[in-house]
Amino acid sequence: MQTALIIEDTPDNMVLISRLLEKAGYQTLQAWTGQAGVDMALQSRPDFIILDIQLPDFDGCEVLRRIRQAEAGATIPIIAMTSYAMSGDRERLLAAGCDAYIEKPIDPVRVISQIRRVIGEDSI
Amino acid sequence: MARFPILDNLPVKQKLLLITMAVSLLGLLLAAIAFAGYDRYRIRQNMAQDIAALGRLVADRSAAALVFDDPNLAGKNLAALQVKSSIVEACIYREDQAVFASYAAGDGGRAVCPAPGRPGHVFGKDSLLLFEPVLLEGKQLGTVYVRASLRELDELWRRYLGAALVIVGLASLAAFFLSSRLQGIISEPLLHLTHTAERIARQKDYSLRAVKEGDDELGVLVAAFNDMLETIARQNQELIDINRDLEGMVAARTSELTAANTKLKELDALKSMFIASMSHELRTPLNSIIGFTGMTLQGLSGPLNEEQSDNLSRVFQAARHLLALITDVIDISKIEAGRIDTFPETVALGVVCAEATSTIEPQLREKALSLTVAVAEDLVLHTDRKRLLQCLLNLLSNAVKFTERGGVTLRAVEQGDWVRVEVSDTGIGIGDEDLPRLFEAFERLDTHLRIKAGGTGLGLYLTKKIATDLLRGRVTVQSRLGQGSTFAIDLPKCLPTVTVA
Repeated sequence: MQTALIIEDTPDNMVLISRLLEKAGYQTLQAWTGQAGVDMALQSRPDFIILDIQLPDFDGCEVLRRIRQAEAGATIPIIAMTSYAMSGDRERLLAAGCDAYIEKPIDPVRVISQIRRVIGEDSI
Repeated sequence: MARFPILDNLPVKQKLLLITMAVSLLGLLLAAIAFAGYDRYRIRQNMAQDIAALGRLVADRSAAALVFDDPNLAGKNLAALQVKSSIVEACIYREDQAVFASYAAGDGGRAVCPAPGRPGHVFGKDSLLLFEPVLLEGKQLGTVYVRASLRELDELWRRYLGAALVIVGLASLAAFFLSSRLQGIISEPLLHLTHTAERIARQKDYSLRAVKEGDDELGVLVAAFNDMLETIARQNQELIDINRDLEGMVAARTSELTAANTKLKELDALKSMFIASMSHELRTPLNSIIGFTGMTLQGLSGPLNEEQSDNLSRVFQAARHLLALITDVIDISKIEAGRIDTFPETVALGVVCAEATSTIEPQLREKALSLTVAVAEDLVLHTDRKRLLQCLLNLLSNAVKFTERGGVTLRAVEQGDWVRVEVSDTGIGIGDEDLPRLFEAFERLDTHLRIKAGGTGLGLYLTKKIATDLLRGRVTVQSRLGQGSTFAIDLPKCLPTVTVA
């Protein structure tokens, strides 16, 4: 069973993504701050990471950079989630080293297939 | 007054000199000519009287010679005339006009005795002729003829003329020197005035004054000039004062405006903050509603019966509609406030079109509409991908909404530096009277359709705003009621990167 780390500070979003992933057969780890996210990413070595960009302690790009700097985190697929309003984030995030980019609001019907395409499990 | 164009450009100094010299020369010449003429007349008269006296003397003496018929005596009498060097020749005639005796000046000369004329003198070309009767007791015995040369007289007169010319010359010189000195009385104040005027014109210094030297017309002119300067200086000062007042007022107004502007900017920032937080605050719960409803609808939380599924899908659609509405309103307010940056990048039009068509594919399938895409694969432009996609999605979903039979066509053509993207449908079309209102906010043309079609009513308004304000392009429409519509977006191939300050 593959493990997903979800770094997200909004409870509803955390619950929604966790449940969607669990229903799709993934194990989930939950981090509520950027720091916790970086620590868990480097200790638990999840198979992929779902990263919210607006976090209480620091910016999602900073989280990305810290994970990518460490040897353990250099190759973990990271999917960033950002609010629709933040136009221009796309380039910034891709440049900071994330593998894909999903715009909020997440589409509950399509989000799992979007994730699977990124982590190379696209069965459709 | 008579004009002398040649004189117009001469300096006043020279004009004055010229006038003085002309007048004095004319006076001197006239005087010289008058005196010379008078003297010539007087000298001639004197000479005539002299010669006449001599003639009478000879005539008186010769009466005896004629009575006694003694030509020798007559000859002696005539020879006495040699005392007068100007006398050239002389003759004595008898009563019968025959030459009785003659005399010629110089040695060996012979007198030419013309026929005796009437008594009296007459001036010839270069000599004076005199005929004097020889009378004895009232009876004429003969005639004396004397011819005197005028050469000496002419010589004298010529010398006299020469002297007169020398005097005229000297007098002219004296006049020249005098007028050279005296013209300054008039020209100096004029020159001074001119220099002062020139300095003022050059230096713009209206505090300069011309010096007044007398109370004549020039003095009056200088005074008037100074008065004028006084007026100009005073008016200048008034202007400066008014200007200073104005500057003060402008500065005051500017600072008021700056304050108002700062206030407005603060308010504007507040509005932006409000919009941003509205965006976040409204969307966050909506995201949860959509997310959890969607998850449940998919049966991921257990099976649903038909009614539950229908209820939930209505909630799901309404929430999505509300989210779309909020998103559109936020976009519009941001565009209107100039607060949206564009992020131009190289975009393969085919890829964006595919993304757009894949989004509306479910609705197409539902309505059994056909889709035709004619976009060249190598068509590339530099623009804001996300905003372009937004426009295409809006036009495509409109096309699907208002079409019941037939299909939708998406076409793109390159036109020089522009690319035209067209979305055509075979739907209900738009009447001519409705076309002008088409791109206005919240204009949905048919309320029946509104209920059926859904949508925010902001789609075309926002599309036009994005295409024109953000992508620097144009949106046009061609449509006829009942015969479908074609919406076209003309976009510049290369959108410059402009960041909103």
